[in-house]
Amino acid sequence: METFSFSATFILGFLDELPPRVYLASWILLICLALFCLLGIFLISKRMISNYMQRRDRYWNAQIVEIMTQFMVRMDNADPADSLRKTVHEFEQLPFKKAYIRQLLYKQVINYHRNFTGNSADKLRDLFRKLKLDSLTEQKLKSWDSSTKIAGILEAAEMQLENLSPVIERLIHSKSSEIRIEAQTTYIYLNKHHSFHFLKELNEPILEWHQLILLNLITHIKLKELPLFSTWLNSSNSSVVELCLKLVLHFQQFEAQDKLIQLLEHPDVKIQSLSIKILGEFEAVKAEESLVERYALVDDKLKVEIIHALGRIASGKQLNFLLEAVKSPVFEIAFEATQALQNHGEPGISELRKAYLLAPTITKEMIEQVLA
Amino acid sequence: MPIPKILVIEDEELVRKVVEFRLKKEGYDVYQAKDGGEALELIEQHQFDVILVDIMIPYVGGLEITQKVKSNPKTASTQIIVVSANGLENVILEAFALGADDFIAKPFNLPELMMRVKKHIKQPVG
Repeated sequence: METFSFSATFILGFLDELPPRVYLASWILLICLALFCLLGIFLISKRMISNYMQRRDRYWNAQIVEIMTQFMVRMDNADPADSLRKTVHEFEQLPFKKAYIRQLLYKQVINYHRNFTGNSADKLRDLFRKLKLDSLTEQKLKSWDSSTKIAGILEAAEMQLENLSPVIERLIHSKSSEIRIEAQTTYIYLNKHHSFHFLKELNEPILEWHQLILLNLITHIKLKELPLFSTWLNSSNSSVVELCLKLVLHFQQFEAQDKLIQLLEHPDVKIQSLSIKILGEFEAVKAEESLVERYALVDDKLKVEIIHALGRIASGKQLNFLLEAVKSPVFEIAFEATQALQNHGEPGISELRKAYLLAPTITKEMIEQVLA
Repeated sequence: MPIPKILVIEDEELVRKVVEFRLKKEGYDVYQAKDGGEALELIEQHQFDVILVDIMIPYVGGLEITQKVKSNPKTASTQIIVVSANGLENVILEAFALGADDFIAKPFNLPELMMRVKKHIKQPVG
């Protein structure tokens, strides 16, 4: 200490005697030198810490893999519950409470779970729960960082952590569309009961591509009970209505017909169009009059769709309306109406033949084309 | 009757060990390699009946190993089952074009893998 103090006094005394410019330059040089030394120390210590952590992780990973291998191997021979108990006990012998060991274990179990299906995957999930590693998933779900949150949601789905559903439910309404989408998908996947009640409160839009993902999921998972998707057809969120309409059509929920008729007056043209399409697919006779009433109020594209739907319903009550539409100056409408009449079978074709006699050349050609 | 020899090439230690254990339990003579380099050395030293190879392994990839084994007249009769987490059509087609005899996607079911290996073993286990 005394030597250091003597050296510092000597250097400062020496510097004081220098001309001002040299004095300033010397100070700058000394500061740079000190910073350079600090940077060197920082880099070396960082490298040393990283090496130490790598060595430590390698060591513990080897231990973890060894125990997990024994677990997977024992699974075939011993009683599964006993094997699980033994494995949990073996893990508890490690300094298991230390955060980094739990992190390593968490990563390893998830990583290996990704390699197997069937019984092996089931056992790894059991082990994950028994070691209470789901608390780490929960921490991820509560993280401030959105990418960590998303990783947590995906891991909860992968490890089928139904107990985390309430935490995931809170993320369904997230401002971030990425989080929202993953949370909704996982929530439906994990909740086989009442999976859709969140649709009632959903204010954020369900994007087009996300609707596809949800449709694919909902139509493939085994739900305990299929809800009536018409329940959410009066939602103020158009995207919820759109998704439910697609589901009503997929699951052929004919009970939705009355609500579909009401949706013909929905302010969103896309919803009107989907409703018309589904009413046609359902061959909803009771919707015919409403469809005809809407006809005068909609654009040409929807007019074509209404006529197409009437052609599918083909009750025979709207033949005169369709005959009028055959005379439309808009080719698409006239052509669709001709086809719709043909779809009615003999009564429609007979009307078309009568109309043919009085029709202008262009309409005649069209009728010939359709009846050919 | 000689015991069928199987080589498991997989970089994930647990997967490799579990598959090895299951195959040994079935009565096969099992060798394992954690990367392409180790695998090629073993292939030179032994005549394997079946090789289970993951596509994504360090140093020499699974597809390259498939090609090398199938293009060598000495080892061409070895049955190769390619394992991959990448189930893309072009990867599967490439594996078969290089001579792979079977493909199994990750995640896989262990009993299914065992059945596939059994199917590719020419001689029954003694």
